[in-house]
Parts: sequence; structure tokens; C-alpha cells
Amino acid sequence: MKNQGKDLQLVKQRKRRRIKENLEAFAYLSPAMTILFIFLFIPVVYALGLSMHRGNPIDGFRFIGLTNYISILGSDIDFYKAVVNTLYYCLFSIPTQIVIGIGLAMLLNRAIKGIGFFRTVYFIPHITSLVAVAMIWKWIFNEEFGLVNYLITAMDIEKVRWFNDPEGIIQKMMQYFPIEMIKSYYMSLTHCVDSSAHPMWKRIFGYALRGPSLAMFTIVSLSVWKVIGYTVIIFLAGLQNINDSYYEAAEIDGANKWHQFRNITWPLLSPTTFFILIISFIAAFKVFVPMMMMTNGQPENTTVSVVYYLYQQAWTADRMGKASAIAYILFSIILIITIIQNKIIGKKVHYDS
Amino acid sequence: MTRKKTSTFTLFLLFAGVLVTIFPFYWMIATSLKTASEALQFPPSFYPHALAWDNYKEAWEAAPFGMYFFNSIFCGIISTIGVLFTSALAAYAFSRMKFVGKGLFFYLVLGTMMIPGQVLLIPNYIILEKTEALNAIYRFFLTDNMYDWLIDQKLWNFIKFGLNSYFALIFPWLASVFSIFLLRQFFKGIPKDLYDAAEIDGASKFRALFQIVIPLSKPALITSALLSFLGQWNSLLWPLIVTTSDYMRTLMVGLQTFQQEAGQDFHLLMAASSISILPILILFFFLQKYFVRGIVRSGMKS
Repeated sequence: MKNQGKDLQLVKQRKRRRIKENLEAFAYLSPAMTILFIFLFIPVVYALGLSMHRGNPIDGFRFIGLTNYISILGSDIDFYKAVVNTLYYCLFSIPTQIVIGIGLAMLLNRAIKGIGFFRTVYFIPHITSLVAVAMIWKWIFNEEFGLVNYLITAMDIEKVRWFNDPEGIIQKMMQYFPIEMIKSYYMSLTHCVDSSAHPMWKRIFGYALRGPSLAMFTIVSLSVWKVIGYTVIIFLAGLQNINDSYYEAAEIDGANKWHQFRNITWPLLSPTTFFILIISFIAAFKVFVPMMMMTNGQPENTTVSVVYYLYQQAWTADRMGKASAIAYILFSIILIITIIQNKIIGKKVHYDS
Repeated sequence: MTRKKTSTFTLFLLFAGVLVTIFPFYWMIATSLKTASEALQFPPSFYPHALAWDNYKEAWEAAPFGMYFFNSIFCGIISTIGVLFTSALAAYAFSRMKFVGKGLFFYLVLGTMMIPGQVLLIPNYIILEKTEALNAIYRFFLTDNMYDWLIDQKLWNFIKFGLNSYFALIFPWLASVFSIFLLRQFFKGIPKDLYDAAEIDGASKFRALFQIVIPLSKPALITSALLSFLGQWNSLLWPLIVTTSDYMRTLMVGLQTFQQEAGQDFHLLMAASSISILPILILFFFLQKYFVRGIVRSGMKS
């Protein structure tokens, strides 16, 4: 009897201690969790709800089911233009960033002296604010007084209207295409964008065929310049993980520099490259500040990115329901990229043990 | 081995890289020191012929940059302190305590790292707009005189809720999933013996956190602090949508509006842009290794 009482007391004590432990832990978690709940967990669900409504806080919201998604994905040519613009931004900025990044990292990996100095300098653009730097870019590419146009006129070429020429670069090049039949077919394809008589896919395709505008290239150059220091540091870390003995063996076998790169550096660097590819892709899909600072989406909306389109819809057109739907579409795209990433990483990209 | 020797050609290419990296900054400073007419000269001069230091004064006075600066620094410091406080506590719970639903909570927090901030933008804006109603609490306690005095002294914005307040600029950023994650990893790496020793000595969990864990976690704390400060300092979209009046704008929003108003005054624009870059540059040179480490890690989070 006495023993049983003791056991019971012990169990009670243990239980009390566990409750106390739990309460203590929740007390520690509560500051962060309160904020995360109000400004992260609830908004995620709230945004999903909003995406099924039409309106804004002032005029009120009205439930419309999946209409926003259907109209955006089914008939909103401006949304698809924004997607095409963003994809062009990815297409030109990411490979450039990777090529220059690997190049500089390999050079740095060779330089034993001053590696810290170069790394620091290359890293500076990455920490400066995009807002301030975009202002410099806008000035350098200024049509009348900008430095770039001065260098261009010095080469006896006419000033380029960087921010005011809506024509796509493919469109520009096709003007000089020698075969008349292909040229006129191309023209007919790119001209169907603005008439709603044509089916959506044809209009989107026609828009993509125009190519990015010059203004997009100024933005691409800014992004590459800004991110390169980061890319170099990541690639440098990747390169330093490659064992020197591979190169020694290759040299004994008589492999030249290109073979060494092709068969050792590139495959062993592939996890790093893949990592950069994924995070750049995700970051590129969220591009906004350069558009806001440099072009306002102009000329003729050729630099409207997905996020800039979202911003315009929510705060210029006052369509917060639709903007939430765009946000969720963006979320889905990023989710898909992340899933693909996990699948491929699961299969392992690299061959090093 | 030839691979480790620095050739002249390598150095040449590396220096070309340095030139491309630095030149836009040089051009910014050069333009900022030119007179209005020299800045708009074509062909441009490659260096300012007479140093027009007055541009900085003029730019500073053309818009309330003092206020913008204060707002950015104030918001940066407060949210950094807030993030460190909330993250250290949460990370401590995740790394050293047992509680119901620990795994679930942790994966919930971790899972949100994938969510793009743009998804949260509109709901957070609406939530903040609704917090305007909380101002009724102040109205209940404050007399009209006190209320007017607070507005006169420009203190009202520090305590009010709703849009266009420090609350709107700071509060949503007082917790950071990334910092929680980073600190948890670091806390887990601290030897268990140290915790046991503290417990034997009769130190409470709270004391162990502040006297053992935090002093040992300086690198991780500095990294979180830097990222949080930099995030606040450089952010444009959020302050742009939650501020409407001039005196609440942060430096980045101020620059954006200044750019729209200044038109062709490139010498002033470049002066303003130099002013905004300088503080971060100084911070960078002092805390370089933490910057690199932190930013590289923040990329790794995905």
C-alpha cells in the first residue's frame, strides 16, 4: 500500500514536470510564434482566400470562386507577357552569371596572392542596395547624356534608345533577314499579339518571338553585375572542394586545359552549378526593384515582370483579389522548381564520392 | 605545379573584373561632384573639373533625407534587436527543450521558407490596415490634450498602429524563420556538457541561455543581425506600400520618390545615391567575414 502511494506520487510528479516543461518551451516560442502566426501563417491562408475574391479593401471583396485563376491563365495576355518577360530575364541573366562566375572563380582559384582582395571587391555590389545601384544604371544608360551612349557614339554608331525602344531584339534582327518569305511569315506571327481575334497561344508565341527589349538588357546587365560576387564565392567554395590529385593525374595522362575543365572541373562542380541555377531561377522570378526603379515596366510593358505585374494589379489597378491569385501562381511556379530540385538532388548530380 | 602559379594574364583578367565592378561606383561619385551643367555635358567628362561638394548639401536638403535616414536606421536597429531576441528564444526551445508537437512546429516553420514574400504582401497590408482599430485603445486612455501633444512632438507615429507608422514598418519583421533556423543549428553544436554543468550549478534555463549559449554563439548572432539589418535597410516594396506620408518613408522609398521628382538633376541623384550606399559600405569593411558567411548561408537556406 505504502509503495503504491509512492508510485502514484512519482507519476504525478513526473506528469507535473512534463507540463511545466511544455509550458516553459511554449513561453520561449511564443514571441516568435505570435509574429509568425499573424504575419506569416495566417496571411498564407488569407491570400489563398483573397485570390478567390474580387475587389479591394475600400470597395469590399466579393467571392468569385476560381474565376481569377481561370481568367488569368485563360485569357490574360498581359500576365503571359509578364511571364515571357521574366523568362527572358532568366534566360539572359542566369547563364551569363554562371559563365562569368565560373570563369572568375577559376582565375581566383589559380591566384594565390590577393585572393581576399579580389573576393572582397567582387562582393561589394552584392551588399549595396539595388535601389541606389539601379539609379546609377539608369544614369549610365541615359539616352541623351549617358556614358554608354557616349561610348557608342564614339564608335560612330547612333545613340541607342535604351529605355524607349519597345521593339524586341529578334524583331530588330529580323529586319535584315535575307529571305523575304520567312521574314514576312515572322512579321505576321509577331503582329498577331495585339489582336484578340487570334487564339491565346498564338499571341503568346508571337510575343515571345519578338524577343526582349533593349531595356530588359539594361536590367539584365545590372543583375549580373550585382550578383556576380556572390556567384564567384559559391563557385570558389565548390572549386576548393575538388581534390588536386585529379588534375595531377590528368596532367600525367597528358590532358590539356580544356579536357581538364570538361572532364574534371565541370562534372565535379555540377552540384554547385545546379544550386546556383535553382536559387537564381527563384530569385529571378521574384525580380521587381529594377523594374520599379529603372523602367516602370516600360517601354510598352516589355519590362513588366511577374511581380511588377502583381504590384500594378494590386496598387495601381486596385485588384487585390487578382493580385493574390497571381501571387499564388508565382508560389506554384517556385514550388515546382523546388520539387524538381529535390528530385534531382535525390538522384545526385555529382560523381565525387 | 603550374595550376597554382599566378600568371600575368590571370591577374590582368582579374583586374579587368575589378574595374568593371568598381567603375559604376566611380561614375556615381564623379557625377555627384560635378556641377549641374558639367553633369549634363556630352561627351561626358571623366572626372569632375571643379569639385562641387555643395551637391551633397543640396541633395540632402532637396528632400527630407535626414528623416529618411533616421527611419531606416531606427527600423533597422529595432527589428534587428527584435529578430535576435525572438529567434534566440525560439531556437533555444527548438534545440534544447522537449515539448508536444516539436517536430510538427519545426517543419511548419521550415516549410514557410519556400513561400515567396510576395504572397504575404497583400494580406499583410490588409491586416495592418485593420490594426488601425487598435488605436482606439490609446484614444480610450489619452485625453485630447495628450493626444495633440503626442502629434505635435511627432511621437504619435512611434506608438500608433495601422498603416503609415513605425509599427507597420517594423512589427511584421520582428521574427525571422531563417534566423531561428540558423541559431538552432548553432545552439545544437554547443557541447551538452556545458548545459549539464550549468544545470548542476543550479542555473535556470533562462540563465543558461544568456550566460552560456548566447556568449558562445556570437558568430551566428552577428550573421543573423547583419542579414536582418541589411534586409530592412534595402527593402523597397514593403515600406513603399505601407507608408504614404513623406516623414515615414525609409531611405530606399525616399530615394525612389526623389528619383521621380529630381528629373534630370543627375548630379543630385548621384549624391543621394552615394549617401545611401556609404553606411552599408562602412559596415561591410568592418564586418566583412560575417557578411560573406551570412549571405552565402542565406542563399543556402533553400
